[in-house]
Amino acid sequence: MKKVDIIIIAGILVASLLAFVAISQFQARASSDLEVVIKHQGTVIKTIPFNRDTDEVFQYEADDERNVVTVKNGLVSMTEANCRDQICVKTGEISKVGEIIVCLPHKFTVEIVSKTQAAELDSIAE
Amino acid sequence: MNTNYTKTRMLVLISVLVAQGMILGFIEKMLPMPFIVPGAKLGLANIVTLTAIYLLSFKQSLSVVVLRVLLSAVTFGSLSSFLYSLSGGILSLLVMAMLFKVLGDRINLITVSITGAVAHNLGQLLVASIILETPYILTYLPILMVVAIPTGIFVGIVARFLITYLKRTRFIS
Repeated sequence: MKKVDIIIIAGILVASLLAFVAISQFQARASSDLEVVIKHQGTVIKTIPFNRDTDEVFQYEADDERNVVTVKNGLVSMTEANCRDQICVKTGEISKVGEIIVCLPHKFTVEIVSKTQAAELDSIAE
Repeated sequence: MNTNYTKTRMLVLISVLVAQGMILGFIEKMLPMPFIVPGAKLGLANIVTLTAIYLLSFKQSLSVVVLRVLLSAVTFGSLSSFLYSLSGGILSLLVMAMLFKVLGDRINLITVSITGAVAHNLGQLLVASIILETPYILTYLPILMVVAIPTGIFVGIVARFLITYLKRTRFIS
């Protein structure tokens, strides 16, 4: 191990730590106007207002691709999918703003967004 | 040494590295790995990329990466998996080749490997966030960066064995 190596590895660790902090700050500021946004191939196909009492199962089928999203007890999860890698199902439950479940083979995403923060982000992006 | 002779040797070495990369990628898919975070994997194919960077020219390394990704996609994958592998593969190649060119032996091969793993994650997440039109995918980056350290160490150690061995065989002058 030389100096360069230590600097680079420490840099990676520090960068990831900073990113963690930034993300959790962002989550802490989130208000109560959360919604679950479900997208297929980049287009929003469904939004569900999200809070502790939301109890909804959303099933989506396109061609022979099938994804089932369950919102219950303040948790969102992909309970079923017929994709080959099952990564989306294994991702488990998400509950905080900015968290996302991705089903890459089906180009299907489930994200939790805050309506106001999403608007802020959009204005920054523009 | 005759130039044609050297050329043929290089062609053989590139082809063998491409074949090894494809098989390593295939083996990796069959390995039962603990699920830590979406997208986390060992990155065994990076062994081959590292070997190419240390033994071949940049152009030759680039052809090793592009051919491996292309042939793997045609054989086992799909169009979107091709885009993810290509973006990750090329970005990690660029970063690792740059580190090696600038620092050479002053940087540990294992650090090059770790940085390559991080670059691979970044490339894939960027392409995924473009294809799926959601920047939130990038929130997976911090944890993937941490996971890249142990996997990068493992890949770096294996690559070091391979490079040392290939140098000793004097197959390439």
